[in-house]
This record gives sequence, C-alpha cells and structure tokens, in this order.
Amino acid sequence: MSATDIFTTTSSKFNDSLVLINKLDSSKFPRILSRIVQKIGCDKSERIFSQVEEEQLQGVLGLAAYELKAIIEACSFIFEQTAYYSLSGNSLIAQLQKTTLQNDKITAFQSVWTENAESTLQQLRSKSVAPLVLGDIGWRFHLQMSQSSMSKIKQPSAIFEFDLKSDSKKDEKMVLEFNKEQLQDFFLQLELVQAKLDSLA
Amino acid sequence: MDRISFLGYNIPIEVKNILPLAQKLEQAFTRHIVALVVSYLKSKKIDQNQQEYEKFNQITRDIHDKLNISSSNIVEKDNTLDSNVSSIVFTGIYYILKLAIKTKVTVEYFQTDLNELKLPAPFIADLQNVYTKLRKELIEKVQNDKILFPQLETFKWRVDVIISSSFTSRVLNPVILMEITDTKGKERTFEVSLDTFHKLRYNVSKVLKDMEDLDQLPILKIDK
Repeated sequence: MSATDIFTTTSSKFNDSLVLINKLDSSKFPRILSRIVQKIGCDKSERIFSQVEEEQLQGVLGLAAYELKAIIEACSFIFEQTAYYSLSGNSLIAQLQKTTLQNDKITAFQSVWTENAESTLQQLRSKSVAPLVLGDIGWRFHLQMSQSSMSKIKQPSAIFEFDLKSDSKKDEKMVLEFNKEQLQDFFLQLELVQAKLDSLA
Repeated sequence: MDRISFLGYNIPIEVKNILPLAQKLEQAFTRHIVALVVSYLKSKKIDQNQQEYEKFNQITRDIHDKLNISSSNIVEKDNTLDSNVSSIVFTGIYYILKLAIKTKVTVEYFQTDLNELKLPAPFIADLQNVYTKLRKELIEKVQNDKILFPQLETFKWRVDVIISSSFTSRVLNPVILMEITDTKGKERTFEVSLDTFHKLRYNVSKVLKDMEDLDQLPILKIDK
C-alpha cells in the first residue's frame, strides 16, 4: 500500500525545515529523533520536549525557537507518514532520498525507525477511538452464609468489577454479581467469542 | 432437650400474644387469616421495581381491609375480644411462618414445637397443612429474594477486524465490542482488546473452577 512519493509533494515549509535539519550536528540528531518517534500517536496537545528541554536544545544546537519547532514538526511528520504506510527501513531510505535530506540524516532516520518500528506500530494499531475501553477486571468470590430472612445458607457467588476506561470522561466501573449458573452462561458466551477469534487466526 | 424450638429460646412476643386468644377463635376465622399471611409472604420482596411495589401495596391494602372486616365480625359476637384481634393473629401467624422458613425447620419439628405452645389442635393442623404444602416454595422464594449487586441482564458482542485507522494504514487487528445491560437497567458499550479479552475469559473460567472446587469440599456441602 506504500504510496509512490510520500514526502516530496509537501509544502515549502516542510522543505525549509529539511534545510534546517541538514545543518544539524549528526551526532546529536539521532537522540532527538528517538525521542520524537516515541511520541508518535500521542495526544497532539502533549509536548514532545518540555519547555526547559526545548530551551536547552536551542542553546546546544544554536537555533531560534521557531527553527527548533519547525524541525520537530518535520521529523514528527516524517515518522507519522512512515508509520501510516508501515514503511520498512529500506523503503524509508528510498523515500527520503527523493527529498533534499542529506545522507547522514537519512541514515539517522532509518536507524531510529528500524529500532522503534515494531513497538511504535504495535502501539498505533492498538489505539482505540471507542469512548469506553475495558481496562482492568477485578473479582471476588464468596460463599453466602446467611441473610436477614434466612439462616444456614451456603451459596457460592462472585462479584466482578469491570473497569471501563474513558478518554474524555471519568473512568467508570461496572459491578455485576453472578451465581454459578449465571457465570456459566456468561462463560459460554465468551467461548463463542473465542471461537470466532480462533476462526480469524 | 438438646434441640431448640424453631421459635428460638424465647418465644417472640408477637407469637405469645396469640396464645390467650387462640382458644376463643373459630377455625374459619383463623383459616382466613392464614390465607392472608400466605399471600403476604408470597408477594413480599426485597428488591422491588416500581410495578411490583404498587402491586405489593395493593395486596397489603387488601389484607388490611379484610382484617378490619373479619375483626369487626368477631368482636360483635364476643365483646371480650380486642378489636385488633385479627391484626394480632395475623402478626403471630406471620412470625411463626417466617421463623419456620428462616430456620428451614422440618414439618415434624414444626408440629412438635407448636404443640409445645399449647395451641388448639385444629389451629396447628391448619398451620401444618399450609407449611407442608408451601415449605419448599417459600424457602426457595426467600432464598432468591436477597440483596444483590446488579446482575447481567443482556450481553451482546461483536468481533471486528480493524482494517486501517488515522494512525496507520494497515492494522488487521481484531477487537471485540461488548454491550452489557445490568438488571438495574444500566447499559454500557465498550471495546475490549484481544489481550483484555483473554484476561476476562481467564478470570471468568478461574472463578468458575473455584466454584466447582468448592462443591467438592465435603465440609461445605452446598445447598442446591
């Protein structure tokens, strides 16, 4: 599915950023890249470098604030595209060679991507857009011994707590009590789901 | 005697109250009240919804009206009786049956313990009759009528395979969508990743196994 030229058709702003990248010290560049690649797919409002770190980087690399910002954005864009098309290290080199990027920087991109490709893609694939996602499952199993209207009971029962994680709202909990029969029914349903999943593999 | 009466060490005051009255009462009257107690026991429920609650209210109002009527009939015939006689008898019988169910006393002991109270024979016979007939049904009803967390009402699921997303063009990961409604009417739809699904399935089967293992323990013979 990899598109023919995924980097060359972009704006002049992007090309200006590439010029800035080319001027960077190649020994420091890979370390910046590995930080950026780890933040791919994170919330856009989250900063890749903290305010203090950005100031330090500006000093070390001798850049103005807007220049550093342009560099970070360009690198993020390259990695986002790489991830979107799931490029291999070699295809990434091929794509970057069509740009004005110099060879030492291309190698930096390639080595950082090869190192992080699998974990990054895995993380991106599992990203969910559903409002509620099942997180933790807690349970307690007990034996009911008596109740206000009856003594000498021995009935097993289990309480399950489903932790539902939400991006926008507060996390929710759903608590359900099962006796043995109800739990068996529930398990049979889960087995049906499992059978479906097995048939996909 | 090593066995204690199902009514407990001390006979409850509610039961004691009917002892002096019992001899004077006609069988038809007590039978009528026993029937009312039974209908009360059958309709009583802890966890009522609105509809059940109204129905139950209706039944208790009915019982109350009928008690008033039968009481006034009796009192006309014999003015030595308290005008509340039917309420007292109702409460006494209710306590007897409630305690019998609570302790799940056998029919034989039920009769023996009532004989100890020196209640009139026809009165005991009527109670015993009702208890024999309804013991199983009422015990079951009371056992199932308890405070509970919400339970699973409906469970729907869907298995999807994600083809692509804004983050990456080829995903091909299965995810499960579940919709759970509990008995209180709360409904939630949520996504379950493959890993979490395995965790859920593992935990459910683990608890089921624990339940089955518990059945095997002779010390904890489970009531069916």
